[in-house]
Amino acid sequence: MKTPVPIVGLLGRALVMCGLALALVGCSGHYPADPDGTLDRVSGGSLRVGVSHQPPWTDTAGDNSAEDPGGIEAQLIEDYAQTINAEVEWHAGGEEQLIKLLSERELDVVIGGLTDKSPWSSDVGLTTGYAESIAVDGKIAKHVMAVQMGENAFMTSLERYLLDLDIEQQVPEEMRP
Amino acid sequence: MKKANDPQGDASKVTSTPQETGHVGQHDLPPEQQAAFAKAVRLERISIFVRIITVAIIFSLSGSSQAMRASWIGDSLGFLPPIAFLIAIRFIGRPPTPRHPYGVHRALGVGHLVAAAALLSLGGMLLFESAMGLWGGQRPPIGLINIFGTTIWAGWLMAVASVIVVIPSVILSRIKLKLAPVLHNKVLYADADMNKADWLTGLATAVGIIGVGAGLWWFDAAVAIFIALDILGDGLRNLRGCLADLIDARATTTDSKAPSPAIEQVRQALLELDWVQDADVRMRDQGQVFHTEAFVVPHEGQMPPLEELEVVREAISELDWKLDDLVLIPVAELPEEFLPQIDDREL
Repeated sequence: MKTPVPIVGLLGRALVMCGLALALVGCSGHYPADPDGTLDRVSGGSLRVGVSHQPPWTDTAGDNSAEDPGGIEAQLIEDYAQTINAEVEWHAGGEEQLIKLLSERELDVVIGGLTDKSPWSSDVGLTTGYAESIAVDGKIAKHVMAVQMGENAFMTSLERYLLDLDIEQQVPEEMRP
Repeated sequence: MKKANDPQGDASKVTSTPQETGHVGQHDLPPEQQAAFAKAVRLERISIFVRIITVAIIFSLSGSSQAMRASWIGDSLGFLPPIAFLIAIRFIGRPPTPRHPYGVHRALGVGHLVAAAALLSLGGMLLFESAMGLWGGQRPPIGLINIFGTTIWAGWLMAVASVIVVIPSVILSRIKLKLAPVLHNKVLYADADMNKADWLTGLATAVGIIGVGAGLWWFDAAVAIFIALDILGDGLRNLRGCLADLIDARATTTDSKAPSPAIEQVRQALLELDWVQDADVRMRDQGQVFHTEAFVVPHEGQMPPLEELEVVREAISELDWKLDDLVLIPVAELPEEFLPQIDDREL
């Protein structure tokens, strides 16, 4: 009879060692980390935000403008930027154009009432849902923001800020689930 | 199959499985094999059950991680070997019929082919997906997740989950590797390889995600490629083994790595007989059991009585439970056209 192979063979052991080594590397600096260092760049610098008009989440009309947009999400971004000493650099435009710029890494965040059902999830990273509302189809949608793919330190930093807030209160009464 | 024309095709045979009857075809299973068979059937049923659960877990968790996504598709491919095993043993329990004078043992070879193809597809798919991810510079976004009121990085959850779900695979793989040689069941052996592929992939996923967390976006895909090559290797080895058996290669050990020791065992047993001057054997794997033709040259053309031949045939068959289908052929000279190994031996 054949002797059974050891539970964790040479390959398995090599993998575990790699994992441990990486976990140690990860402890210095951010974990999860940004491959392109977005969080370090925007902290104390400028945060390039794409905004597409979608009230009440984003508003570039009326009293507001493309240079100084209003809406729930625009305010959230302004507040978040303050926590990392960043200056927000607004870029108003259509959603597809902005997503394209974000996937080309010309922007850091895109907002505009995006939800977790967004078809853009294969081009950009979507944050975890930070608020819920009733969408046009009557179903409950989780609201998210779009960030660059794989910039996980920046993404989790933004998510942590958003999750700590009670944003449901700011959603208009008729849209609350 | 036309049951009406099949004189022995009575209904009881359709559901006769080896663990119920203690037979594979006309071969009697010794108690050790009967017990192993019952255990193997139980094991394969458990495998299917466990897989349903793990596929559900992985599917619900799979985010954008390359390895994670490939993992649940791969887990689904893993259904094939246990199903192939359970279907094949329904057939091999049947006794030979006029239509199938050798029995239907080769159903197991078909099962082995299915299992090998599943391994190959799994390895190929994982290799393709990961290579494309690496080529396209895909950077997996892994954010925070809120579970039971606590917010943690989803990567930790994915890594822990992918290690936990492979624990059954490690155990199943080990038991199958022990049982497969006892039953000489190559489908079971291939399924053990499939379980090995599972737990390697799970481990690779965990390591890949931890690497992604460290900012090495390519790590997930790179580790997956490494594992994919290993799985492809297993798939190729199994494919080669089962194709060899299906085209009547010399019988091998269960891992298809060496000639079956039974060949030499039979030959030596014959050579030890007083009246035998020379003997040689050709033996092919029918699927779990062998079909053996043993040629014997009596001394100075002196044929032993028929009773002696009958006794010898019985005794040789008893050497191994896999040797019940054995024919003894007395010849004046060993026929080289049927025994190509004779040339090698003389060199």
